[in-house]
Amino acid sequence: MRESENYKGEESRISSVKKHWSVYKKFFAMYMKSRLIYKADFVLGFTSQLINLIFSVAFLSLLFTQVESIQGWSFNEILLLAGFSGLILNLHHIFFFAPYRLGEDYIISGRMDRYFVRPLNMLFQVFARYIADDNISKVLANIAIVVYAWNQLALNIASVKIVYGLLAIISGVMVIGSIFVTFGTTAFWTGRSQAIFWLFFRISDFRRYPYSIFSQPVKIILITIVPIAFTSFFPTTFLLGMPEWRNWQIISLLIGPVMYLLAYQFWKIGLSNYSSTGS
Amino acid sequence: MNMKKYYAVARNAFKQATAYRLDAVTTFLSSVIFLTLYYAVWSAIDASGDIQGGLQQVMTYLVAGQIVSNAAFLQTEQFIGYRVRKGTIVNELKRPLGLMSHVYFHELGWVVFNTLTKALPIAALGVVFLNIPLPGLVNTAYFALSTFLAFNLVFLLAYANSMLVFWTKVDWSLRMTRNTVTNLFSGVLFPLYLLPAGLSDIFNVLPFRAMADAPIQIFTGQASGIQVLEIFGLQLFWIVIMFILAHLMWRKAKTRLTVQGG
Repeated sequence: MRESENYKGEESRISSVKKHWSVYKKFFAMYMKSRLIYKADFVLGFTSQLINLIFSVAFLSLLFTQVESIQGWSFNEILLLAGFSGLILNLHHIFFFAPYRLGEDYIISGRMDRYFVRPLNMLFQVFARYIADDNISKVLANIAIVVYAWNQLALNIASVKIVYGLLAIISGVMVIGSIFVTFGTTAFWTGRSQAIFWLFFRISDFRRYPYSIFSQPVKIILITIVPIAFTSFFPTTFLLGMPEWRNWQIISLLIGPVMYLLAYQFWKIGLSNYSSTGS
Repeated sequence: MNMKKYYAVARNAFKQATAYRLDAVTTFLSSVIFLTLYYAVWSAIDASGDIQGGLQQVMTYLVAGQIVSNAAFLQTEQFIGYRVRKGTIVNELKRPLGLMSHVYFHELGWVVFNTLTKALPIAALGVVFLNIPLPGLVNTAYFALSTFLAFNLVFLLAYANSMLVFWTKVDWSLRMTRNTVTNLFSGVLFPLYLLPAGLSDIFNVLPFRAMADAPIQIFTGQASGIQVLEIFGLQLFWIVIMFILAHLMWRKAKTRLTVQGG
């Protein structure tokens, strides 16, 4: 009896995942069709993101007109750091950017109401509605930067690095995801989310520089409240073969799922706090 | 007098701005984060090499840059983009003042608000935490005037840029690109006196230098005497050029005016 119940539970979970996946595909197709109406928006967004990235690289080059290396990090090493962390950040943004406008677009407007009546996961519905496709240009450009820096540094292509890199990307996307979910969830109390995300965007610039140059309070922030060190500096030190950061390199692979589960618990608390604006 | 209606627009914008107090706090914190980051970066550069003029001068320059950009850098594209998409841009044509002067005085109201709530707190922060030396009374007046000229220039560029919204219907990407380009070339991100000779020439022929580096040089005391007049001259020169450009863009855009929905 008990065994068959377990079996049922398992089966319904699988079918629930299947259902969400098939709904996501439909949402995705719908979103892409609606994007075709606003081709100019896509082209301009794609281009402006690319220009933005080119200018950040130009800025890094300007810094290196002053100095040969920043605390032992050469231009190409910093380029790898910026490219790899940018790849993680922008990959996240394509699919999971929606919490940015959670307060303004969903909670204050009362749009959240309709999600309650659907037999789908609430957070899933928030994500499924928005694809930030203008970030595709930054993902591609960051891949190019990583490849360029990799060649310039004459790093070997060991399979352990490839596997580590892929796992770090997955874990890193989850870390950024947990930040987005956590920051977005505060909107259940404040009604706003964009303002707190502007602060995140500014702090996310810290990812481009070696962790070791920062003061102790900043370092603590980068591994706790805004833990982007796990999506930038620590995994990059593995790719560069710096054994002195070994423990942090391992933690970086494990922290993503852990943080995401914690963020999801916080999201559920926030959600239970939701009361419709009644409009 | 005719000035009354312009004053009314500016005062309205100021009142509107006070509704966005949270925005003022966030912008202030953004500047704090920015200065924290680049203090660490430039300290590391200072430790690894030799910066011309030293770390203190870099930080003074960057703080002054934050004062100027918080006070004078505006997002005019949003104002026009919103009205073009909603179709209410047509109401702007019925007003007793032209579109450009309406937007100008609206933005001026914001500049007053931004100066009080964003720029002055950053100046105070710079003095307390980074020991930034403030300019003397006369130079402060020159700095204020130069920042005001910078605002005019930024406004005209943003206004010309917003005219593109009549074609694109979206403004965020246009705004983002202008901000990206302006921030790097104006000196807000990187002190322009540190540029190597060849690169400096490129920055010199662009209008962006007059938007931040110009007032910053007065703030830091790198420019004095006749050089201050040269700076004002350079800013006025670019204002005239941008004014002509903005006008031409508006004349083109007017022919593209379509009102959705009606």
